[in-house]
Amino acid sequence: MIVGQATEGVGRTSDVTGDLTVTGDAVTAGKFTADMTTVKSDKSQRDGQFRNRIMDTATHPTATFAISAPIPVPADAVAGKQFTNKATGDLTLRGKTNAVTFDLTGQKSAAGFDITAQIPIVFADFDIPNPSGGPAEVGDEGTLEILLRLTPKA
Amino acid sequence: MTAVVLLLVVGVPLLYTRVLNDDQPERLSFPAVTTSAAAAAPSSAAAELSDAETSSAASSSTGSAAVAESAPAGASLNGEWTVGAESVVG
Repeated sequence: MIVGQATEGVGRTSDVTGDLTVTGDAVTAGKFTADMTTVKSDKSQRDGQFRNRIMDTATHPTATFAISAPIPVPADAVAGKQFTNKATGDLTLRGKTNAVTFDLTGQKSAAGFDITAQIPIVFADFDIPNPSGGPAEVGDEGTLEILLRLTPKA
Repeated sequence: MTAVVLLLVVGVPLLYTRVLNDDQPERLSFPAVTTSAAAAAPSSAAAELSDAETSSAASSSTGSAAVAESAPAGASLNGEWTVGAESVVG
């Protein structure tokens, strides 16, 4: 909320890397890392708050997610259709790791697969200070939204 | 004078709300699918995915939005995959 008006601040980075292994029609291992130092929004002042007070990216420059339980590959994925599934893993933000389970949606792309998901984040669970500051009042939760691009290794 | 006050009282909040609402970011979504382009492209995603472990063509894909409508039945996705992405922290 900014002066009583609901608004939404979004920071974005495309600096995401990782690997994923599919064995026996299940995703058996997978991890990706996002460079939090390159997250940018449309407001430089917000970015400064994000990098310093909120996420302390100098100390915790990356966020990671690692699969902790096999994810069955749905038949629709094999058939090239859009599919949904649940993923469980360990999410690390600002140096704090929590187990999370979330829904994902996948779709085949020219190069492989695209995966999207929205992971609800309770700031306190990751020791993230409430982002409120100045005229902006922020709730206790945010959303980590991802669009992963999977390509088979050569 | 009354008109000016009314304009300020009603107009400014409306304008402020409009500015904030116009500033809302778009949600991440899949790239648009262009199935017709896939038909014209012999190097389809289906072909690449059917040989995920050995295909070098997949890594040189341009990442266009063109996709095949369906993969061959029984195509295996087994193998190693590289994760690249966009990530949004909202």
